[in-house]
Amino acid sequence: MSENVLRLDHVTMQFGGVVAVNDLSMEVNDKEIVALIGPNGAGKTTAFNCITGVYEPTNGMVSFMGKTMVCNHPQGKMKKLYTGNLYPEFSHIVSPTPDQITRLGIARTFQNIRLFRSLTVFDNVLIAKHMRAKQNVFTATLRLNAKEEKRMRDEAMALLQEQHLEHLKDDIAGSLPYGLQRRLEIARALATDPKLLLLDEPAAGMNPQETKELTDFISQIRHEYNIPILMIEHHMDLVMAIAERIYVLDFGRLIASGTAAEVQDNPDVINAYLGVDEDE
Amino acid sequence: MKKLSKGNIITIALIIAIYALVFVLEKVIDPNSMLFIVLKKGAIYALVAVSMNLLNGFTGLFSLGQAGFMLIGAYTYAIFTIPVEYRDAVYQYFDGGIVQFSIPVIPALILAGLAAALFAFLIGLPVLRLKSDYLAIATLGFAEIIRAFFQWDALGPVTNGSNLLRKFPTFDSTLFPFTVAGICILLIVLLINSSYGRAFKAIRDDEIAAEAMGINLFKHKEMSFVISSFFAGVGGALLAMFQTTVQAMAFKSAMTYEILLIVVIGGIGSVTGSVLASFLFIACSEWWLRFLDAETYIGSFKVPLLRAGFRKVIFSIIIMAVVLFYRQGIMGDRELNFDRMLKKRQKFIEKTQREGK
Amino acid sequence: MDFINTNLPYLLAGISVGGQYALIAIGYTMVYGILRLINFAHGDVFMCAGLIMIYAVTWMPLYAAIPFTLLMTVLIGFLIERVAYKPLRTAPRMSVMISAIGVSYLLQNVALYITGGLAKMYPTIPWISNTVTIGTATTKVVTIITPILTLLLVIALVTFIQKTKIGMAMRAVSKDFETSQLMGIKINNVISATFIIGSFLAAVGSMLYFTNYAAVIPTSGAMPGLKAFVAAVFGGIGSIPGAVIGAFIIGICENIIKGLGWTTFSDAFTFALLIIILIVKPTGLFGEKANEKV
Repeated sequence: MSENVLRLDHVTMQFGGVVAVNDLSMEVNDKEIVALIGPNGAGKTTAFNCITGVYEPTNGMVSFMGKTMVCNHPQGKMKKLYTGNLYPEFSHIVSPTPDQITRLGIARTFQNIRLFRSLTVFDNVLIAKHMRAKQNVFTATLRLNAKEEKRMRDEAMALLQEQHLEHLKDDIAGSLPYGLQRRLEIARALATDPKLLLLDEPAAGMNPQETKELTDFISQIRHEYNIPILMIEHHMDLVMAIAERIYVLDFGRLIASGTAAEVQDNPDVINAYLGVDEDE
Repeated sequence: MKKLSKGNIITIALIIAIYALVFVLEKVIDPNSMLFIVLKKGAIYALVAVSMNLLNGFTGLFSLGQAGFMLIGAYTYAIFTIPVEYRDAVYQYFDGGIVQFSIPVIPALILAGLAAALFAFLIGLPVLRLKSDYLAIATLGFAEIIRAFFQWDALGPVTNGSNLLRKFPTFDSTLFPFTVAGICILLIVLLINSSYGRAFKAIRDDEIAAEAMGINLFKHKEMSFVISSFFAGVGGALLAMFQTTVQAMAFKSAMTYEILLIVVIGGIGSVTGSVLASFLFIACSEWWLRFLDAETYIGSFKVPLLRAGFRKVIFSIIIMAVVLFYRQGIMGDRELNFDRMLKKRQKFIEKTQREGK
Repeated sequence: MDFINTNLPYLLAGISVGGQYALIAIGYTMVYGILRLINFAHGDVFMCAGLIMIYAVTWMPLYAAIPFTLLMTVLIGFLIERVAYKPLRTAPRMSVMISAIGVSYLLQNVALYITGGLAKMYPTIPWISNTVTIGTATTKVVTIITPILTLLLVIALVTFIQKTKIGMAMRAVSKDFETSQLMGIKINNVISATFIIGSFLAAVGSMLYFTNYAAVIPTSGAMPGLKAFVAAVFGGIGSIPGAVIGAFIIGICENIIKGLGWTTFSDAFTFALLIIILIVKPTGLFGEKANEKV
């Protein structure tokens, strides 16, 4: 059995009275491409935000590389409002900020592309190197970190070359065409040297041809960087082509999981997407 | 060491030329000329404007506390440099004050910056968690509190209460503020172009994405805030030297607004812009538009409207025009870059040659 | 009882000033609710109202000067919005705020030019300038009138916002700017109406305020303006009752502090209060929370 890279145990995210993610348990194994699918508003992005520290889950635990990364249980006002199950093992609280999680090795992209729009393509990638550089504000200002700075630049440049973006390095990120912006956002995430990559709807707004290219691009990333990928996606062609396993969310609840074929024939999934016929 | 590009060499040569020009001008022109007042004050404002730009333009933190940090710098400098023999006269209501020593000018300037930075660090802990306009109003509030605090009678033995501080060492040569401000601005430029500067710009462009890139938002915001305040403190100390006296009353929010307007005129996110705008702003308000304040007759015809205060009206109308119709200011977010200009020229020459054939 | 007797004058002054701040604060809070803009120029509009009154009484009788002042102030508020804020509708929020600071700078400099930098004496408005004695405190009628008038105006305003069509439009716009535009609400009319109401109330406030302070200088509006803004934040910016309650609290606290002999800190206190509320509950007493979508 392969090792779990990422593991969610009974994660619930409740905003006031609204339960966005309900008792979600899932796992991502090494070198695996996993897709998280579901109708609009099913809670997919919320699940992502719980993993990456943007939200603090109301209840449940997320572990990464075998270590507890996030853990919480209902507190304060939530104690009364909370409607889900309680598990005694989540009594301690671990709640890192998004930047700490990135440093642990989880990189992500965003549904509505978030590049540093006024910076160049090269700087966008270079910024990812900042967090692990051995320097402080004095050595950096006085240029005493020249070696470190050179290493960062070389690594960023190498990555741009791998991603075939080097000819664009001096272009302003915000002026790139949409498809390239997506590519750059993925390249930037890879620049943080992640051990797990999360992609939030990478094919959103792409035509079939572009989606096809993206499909190849993603499986290429998995092979070249040897990292598992968890993605949220609506394009079924893409999901069916490369995802080894699929989790299906509906109304915050996990309704099915398994290989593409298994999920495709699951009656719950068909109902969730097409609706139940009342006459039946 | 990296080899300097052609453009950088031109830039350095230009800066040396400016300093040499100031040096020569001081030898040949009457030292009481308006020109030197503009140059001195312009250099000081340039430093403060660039320090504000570091926050507002490069880190995207809309802070309005600059006058407060300048006040701290000005007071720290004055308190620690007034020669012991003058202290009785200056602190006449407070038995000569409790600080009974004085330190040289340069350490005092650094101390002024450090004091402002320390206050900024403490203020930053709570306020930097606030978003955009809430941050603006909280920093503005803190600046007002600092002002009230320094005027407090109970602190009189240190701050001289609401009385003037004077008799501290000042400067005569324009080169002094030019050199100090020049070094400080150079440090800020180096910071902006360093790895940390990139992180600041990332935060400005998109906080959430910056955090996802592993940048600790709070730490970097605090850093930018403290560094900006350090230089505002040094700028405040220079301003004290320029004015020869210090009084807390003068450091009102109107001063912050003025500096903000300089930053806007120069271009938010451009150091060169802030520097140019500072000299322009000071030259206009102190010198070039002076004629608007004088009642003027052409023959026996009295030019209408011209009288005391008209200059400032015209001036604020110009500023509004810049804010409304010329929003990117003089420089936008670009810097004076000779490399780019050379490249453009090269392209232009190539193009004309091609067309010639 | 002794405590009340010695502090009654300060308490009365506090309630009075609180009412005047409230009238200014409403202008801030309504504009913020709709445009998400701190209208830094609002305090200066208040100052202009004071100056207009001063010049108006030299040209016309008092009963004409009062409506004239109200009308002119409303006009100024309306023009500021059209000239300085409307062109920046799609610009980043920071640009609009800078424009507001620019307008504030302009108004102060124009006032400086017109007055020649001299403090101008505010005209005596009969009856409200008379003195009355309450318990141990002797004060002007305006002190008593202010809170009453403030409350009446606020009730009228709230009714206006609840019952009329334009009031409904205002509520819609403050909830969601874009959607209300799609629903066919004439956004520019709503914004103009907001500025007109805000300026009108600031003008009323200025008459009450300057009757107590006697003189107007170009920077007269800055401090009351800032304090009214703090009141608006304190009460939860965007909320009218919040602004009024915040203004009364600040007015009263400030005068009690003066009564205790800490005059240097009366201004600083207001800002300390602001910072505490921003840290503890950034949305103020009655504000709504806004989250950024990731």
